[in-house]
Amino acid sequence: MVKCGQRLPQGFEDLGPDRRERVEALGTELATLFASWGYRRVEPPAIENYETFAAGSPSFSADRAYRFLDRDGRLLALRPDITTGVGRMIAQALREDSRAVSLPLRLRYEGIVFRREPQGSARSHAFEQAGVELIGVAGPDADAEVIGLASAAAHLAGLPEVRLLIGHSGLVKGAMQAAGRGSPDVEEQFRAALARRDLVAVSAMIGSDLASVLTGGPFDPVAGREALNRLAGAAEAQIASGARELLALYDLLDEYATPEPWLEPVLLRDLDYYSGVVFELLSPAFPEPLAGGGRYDGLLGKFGAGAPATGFAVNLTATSQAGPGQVLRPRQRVALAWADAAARGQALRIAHRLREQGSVAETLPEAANLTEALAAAASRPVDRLLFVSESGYREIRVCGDQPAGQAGLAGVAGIH
Amino acid sequence: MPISLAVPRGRLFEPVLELFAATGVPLVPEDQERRELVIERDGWRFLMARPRDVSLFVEHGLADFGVAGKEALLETPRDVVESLDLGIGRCRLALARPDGEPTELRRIRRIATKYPRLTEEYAARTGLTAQVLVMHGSVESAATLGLADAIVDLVETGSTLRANGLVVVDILVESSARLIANPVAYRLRSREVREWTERLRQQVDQTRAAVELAQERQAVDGG
Repeated sequence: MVKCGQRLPQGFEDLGPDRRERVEALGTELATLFASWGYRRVEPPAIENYETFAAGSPSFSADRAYRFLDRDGRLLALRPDITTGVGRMIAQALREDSRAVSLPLRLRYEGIVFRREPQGSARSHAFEQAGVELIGVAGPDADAEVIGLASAAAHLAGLPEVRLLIGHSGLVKGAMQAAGRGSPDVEEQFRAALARRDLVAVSAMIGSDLASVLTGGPFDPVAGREALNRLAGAAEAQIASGARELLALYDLLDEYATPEPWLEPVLLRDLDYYSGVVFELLSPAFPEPLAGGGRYDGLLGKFGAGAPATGFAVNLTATSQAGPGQVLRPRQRVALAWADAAARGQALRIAHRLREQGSVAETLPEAANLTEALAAAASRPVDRLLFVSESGYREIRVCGDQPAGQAGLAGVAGIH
Repeated sequence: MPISLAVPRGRLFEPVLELFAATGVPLVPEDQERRELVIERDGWRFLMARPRDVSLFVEHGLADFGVAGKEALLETPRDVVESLDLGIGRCRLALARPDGEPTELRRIRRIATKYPRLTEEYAARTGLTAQVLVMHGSVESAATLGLADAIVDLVETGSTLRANGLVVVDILVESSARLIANPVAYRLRSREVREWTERLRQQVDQTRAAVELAQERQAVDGG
């Protein structure tokens, strides 16, 4: 019987050095990319009042947030997303002194989010996200900028045939109203059917004209424009205005260097706060979106100071494992061993110099002689072994299992 | 790239085979008996699975498409697209009790089932305070042996229930087989896949129309 303290709870996993280095490598590339577009890092806390998340995304938070009580019995939550925290943070700053905040704000973040999954799901309940928020600008240019940046981010994952899917929450809300015909219960049933991607139920609840557009997607760039032109004349006001906004955006995307847009009218993101254009970037080589996001003009208003906003996030933990991956900047990796105590000082001085020059220098104090040092070096992610004795040193190329530059495992078998 | 399908073994296999064969899918009757988990044939890839595992394989992208019963999708929700009602494998998830018991639902104290989630939801919805007992096979025996005073189970023809002296007192779910898809695979589906799913839709519509026509004729003849 393995004691409780010796194992992980369901839904959580360890990342060994191989996987963690891939997360870090992609995270570093994304941070550099986001910063080069003028996005500055912020850090809302990992724990907030549950009410904060519930205000932004009521049904998502109720289903997915990890909740617990503080000492005084107040209900807190581990953040199930970071955008809500950023929105709360900026609304607070605007409330305190709106003149001190110069909109638009370009902000980026990176951190772990926690989401409960249904029982029996093999999905991880915690993963690292990197994303951006563009706060204070409405209109298609801001949407196109964020989609352009997300496209550049998705390309960093190194996967083939990245495709852009685009939708609008107005199309979904308009269809909900058309389905509900004034009954909030039926509207809710329709929303729930869409959320569980039950197109059979969705089609049964709306007229066949609307159903064929809503469930026939995604439409290629040409067919998508045609569908939007039709929807722009729809009787439901939210559908018509959503379609017109998407048409305006279509005209800009090419200049913002995104992949061609494929219209997915029922693109419904997990979180409830989306209020306009939504999008995802997909690759056939990976069963989850590489990046996704959209416009959420109502979120900051929930925290007392409204402002239009749009953004997206990348699931770093999953996406970094998907492609060939970004390898951390290849550096010379050297193992050092010494013949006896008299040579140790010299070996450590060499190690110090190598590290100053930007190499990775690892010492092998446990190796008593050259044979042991070679065996130890072969199992480590190093290119060379320096064996130091009083009379000088020998340099030996190491051809272990781990090719140079690839993150290997330092003697801990079975962790990846 | 081959089109990959997770195919359920068991009661759904034959109707699925018949429907798929009519739309050009090269599945053959012997496939159910083969021991391989994965069968590749003429640009198709079949993943032979237990019915309740189909949605798991599709959710994780091991297969692009699959066939699963609606009741299984409701019992174990997964992130898959439910794209088409195939109209086959029709059955009901029903609450049944020994014949002759008082039918007042509030008197039910313990329900045996393979569908605890749907049973608990049903109990909450109807105000039942019954305990749910999870079983893995021949649920009817729990009621006939007195382990439980009602069961929730799939009913196709009702003959198993009758043989065990049970009668249906309520329907939880009207079920049929659904074509499900991995959300990313569904959104990236190629022209070949779209053409196949369109053939499948037409085939399902034709079958439904034929069945309705036969029923009408029967009604006319009977009248």
